[in-house]
Amino acid sequence: MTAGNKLARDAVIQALVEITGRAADRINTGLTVQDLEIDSLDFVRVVQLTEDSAGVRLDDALVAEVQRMDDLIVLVQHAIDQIGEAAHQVK
Amino acid sequence: MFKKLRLWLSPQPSEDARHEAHLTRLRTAGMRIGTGCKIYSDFNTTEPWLVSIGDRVGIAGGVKLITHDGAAFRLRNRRPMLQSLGQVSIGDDVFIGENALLLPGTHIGRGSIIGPGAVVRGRVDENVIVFGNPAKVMGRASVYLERMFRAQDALDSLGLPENERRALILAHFGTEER
Repeated sequence: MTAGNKLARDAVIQALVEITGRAADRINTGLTVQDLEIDSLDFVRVVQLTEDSAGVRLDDALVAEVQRMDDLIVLVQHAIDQIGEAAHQVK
Repeated sequence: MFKKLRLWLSPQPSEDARHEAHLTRLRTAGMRIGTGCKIYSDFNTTEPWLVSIGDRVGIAGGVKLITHDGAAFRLRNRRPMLQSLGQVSIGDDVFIGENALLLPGTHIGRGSIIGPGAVVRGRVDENVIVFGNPAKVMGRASVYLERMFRAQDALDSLGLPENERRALILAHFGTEER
């Protein structure tokens, strides 16, 4: 697992712990939003908490396509990687 | 009797015409209201001229816009004419849900969504969705809307003849017609 992947996964799980009230080790990110009983408002909150925690801003249209929490982790990881590449290019 | 019959036989204004008349009443009272708005609240605001509403704003029923602090009542033994007032401004493309309450000095940024029953005071940023009492930012309104646009339970049912609309919605939820 890369550092970006770990940061992305931790950010999403931390947000899910806060919204669902479940313990981190009881959260399966392979489940769908419906399986996790996250409604549309909770989903918006999960995205916001994740973005704040990971220090990224996700594209609204891509976020809207998320079915499973693993999809969200991939988006966050991609955003983290892009920030890393941009920083590398500046150097 | 004849008056009632005449009233019953006379053509009734369309929903659009009734809504336009409602907006005209609010504007005449002093509210500044932009274009393309849909407002389903009566607003018994005592200082309507302190309210400004942008373009393409949607406001559901039962929303209250408060432009004064009634607690000033407690000071009227010392200052009989005292009022503590505040403006309410609502930016372009805002939606305000049923029974929300906006307190004096509330400014809602462009594109934001105010959840039903929210109690809002102070400045609300652009493009956020807020819920609760006191209203709390949940996230970006644009994420909520993009998600709704793609949601499986979002139907293209508005404006259909009522029987078609009902059939479409009941079929969607797998409910039998009664």
